[in-house]
Amino acid sequence: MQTITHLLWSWSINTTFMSQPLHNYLRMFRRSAGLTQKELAYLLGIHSASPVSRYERSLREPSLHTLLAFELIFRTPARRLFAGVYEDLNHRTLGRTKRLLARMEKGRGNAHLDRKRETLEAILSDEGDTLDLPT
Amino acid sequence: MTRPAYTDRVLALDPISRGLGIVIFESPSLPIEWGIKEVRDRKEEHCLALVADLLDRFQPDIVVMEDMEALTCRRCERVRSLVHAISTPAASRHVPTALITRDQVNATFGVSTKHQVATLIASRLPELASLLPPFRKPWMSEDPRMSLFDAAAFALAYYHAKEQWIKLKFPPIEA
Repeated sequence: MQTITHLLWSWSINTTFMSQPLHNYLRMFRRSAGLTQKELAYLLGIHSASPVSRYERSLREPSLHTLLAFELIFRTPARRLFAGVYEDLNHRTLGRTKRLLARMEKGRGNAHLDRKRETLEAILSDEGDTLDLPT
Repeated sequence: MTRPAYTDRVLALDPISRGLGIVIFESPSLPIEWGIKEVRDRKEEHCLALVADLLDRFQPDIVVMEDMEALTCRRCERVRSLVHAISTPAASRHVPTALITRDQVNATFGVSTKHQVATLIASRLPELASLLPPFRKPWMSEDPRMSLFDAAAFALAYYHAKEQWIKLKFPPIEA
């Protein structure tokens, strides 16, 4: 426990935090929209607020219908609402894409393979992308 | 789509007689969690459990609280010891704790009263605007909601101090 001045000056040039995004930001979006869990449950067509609470606390994954309903209600893409899930998926998918691309290096000159390679390279070219949270 | 720089996730706490004022920021304009957690009995134990839960759920980069050692600080002994105790669950999770004085907060916002600071925060953060307590008259006790704005003020003062520190330590290279 240090005063802010002492703490900052004890940090080196490399002391930067790059927090991983949270699993989801549903609670933040709901509260920013001024909705209660019960009201959100009503909008989702659920009779109880409990599932909403479980979604917010990452104890339960929403179904596709619920996910699309979240997008509609908050007018925000699912990858921003579930930023942590998206980051994790992004990381895994890029890894698999790289491995698949490496496997394809052998066969060149085939039009079908070239098309496939373009697709995979396009996925990798978006590697630097990530979600933009509301500011 | 551009990659935003995720800035420090800050857990700001302001212990009060009734419990804790809490705000978690992901950047100075993005509060992701806020509220007043009431604690009625065994206050220290429950407050520490609450903080541990917040640390696990939100995984903050830093915990920010008021500097109780400052000469201007007039907090009771229970709150002072609670602030010391909170640093333990944070340290066990390798989360540093930064202390900010009330003077640093006032200097950050360029005002001199808590209500002015709270009003400025409410004007910047619409999420918190509806929670702004009315101006406190001398015969009124402090509204518990003020602890929320105090916590937010500590977090914003931290971001400001860090910004100043970066500018000072790594000045921009002029062409």
